[in-house]
Amino acid sequence: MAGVDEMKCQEFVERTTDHLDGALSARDRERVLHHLDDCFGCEHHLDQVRATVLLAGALGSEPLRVSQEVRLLALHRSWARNVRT
Amino acid sequence: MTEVDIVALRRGDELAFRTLVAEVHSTLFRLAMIYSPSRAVAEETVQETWIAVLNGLDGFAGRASLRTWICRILVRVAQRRAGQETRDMPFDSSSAHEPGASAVPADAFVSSGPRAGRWVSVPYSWSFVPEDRALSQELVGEVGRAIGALPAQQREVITLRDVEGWSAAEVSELLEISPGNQRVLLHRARSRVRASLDHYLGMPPNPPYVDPIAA
Repeated sequence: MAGVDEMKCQEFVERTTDHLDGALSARDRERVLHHLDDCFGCEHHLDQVRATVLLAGALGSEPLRVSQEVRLLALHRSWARNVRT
Repeated sequence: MTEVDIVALRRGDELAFRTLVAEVHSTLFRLAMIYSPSRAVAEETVQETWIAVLNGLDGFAGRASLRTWICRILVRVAQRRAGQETRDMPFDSSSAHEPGASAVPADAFVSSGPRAGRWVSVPYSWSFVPEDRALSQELVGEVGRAIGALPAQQREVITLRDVEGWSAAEVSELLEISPGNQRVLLHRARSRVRASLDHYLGMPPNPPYVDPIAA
């Protein structure tokens, strides 16, 4: 599938998010996979994007501080009292 | 997300409320931080949001998911505190289609001739990252910093998608933009963060701190 339809690296780097979301057309997906077969530069680039996503996920959850939770529960209790009456 | 019992919530059930709070706290706090000058203000914004949520529970029609509804309230509260009145955040095209901003600068690619469009020099692999735990932790910190420096809409999308794990559909619904537009914002955000990491990894050990992305 060489020739005019071939994807170049400069186009590839703009399609990484679409590709990882499975949002490419069937044709573009073919072009991406075909390009990756031939281009370890772009394979590294895509791995870098994947690593970026994984590292972002590794930020974990923002914890709920005890003092915040205590305030929220007090808030909720007074609200709930009005609900039940 | 676990199914929160709306009936129990409306009844004033404390366990249902605590479950809901635990579920969404991280997302709420991180969204609040996008609009707040400090953690303290972000915490106040979250508290104020919960008051509005409890008072508005009866009016929750279930058209959007509960989580989306709560987050919309939070963004309104946060923006009001920050002095921005309009919630109707239209798709910010200036943030998504920054003129001249590509995922990778154009000069990384051959500009003309038979090799036009190909890498000038091939990107190196980051395969050492997962092996080196200390480096991994350092990079997580760097990613956090880079995300914090993004324009608001890009920061929202990458926080919800990649940090908090929301789906594309949920993010599109919350921000009231198309999945395509949501993806453009995510692409811009990930590109900046990747570039920031790339620069960081290219730095010699213990350099003086230099902002890798000129504002």
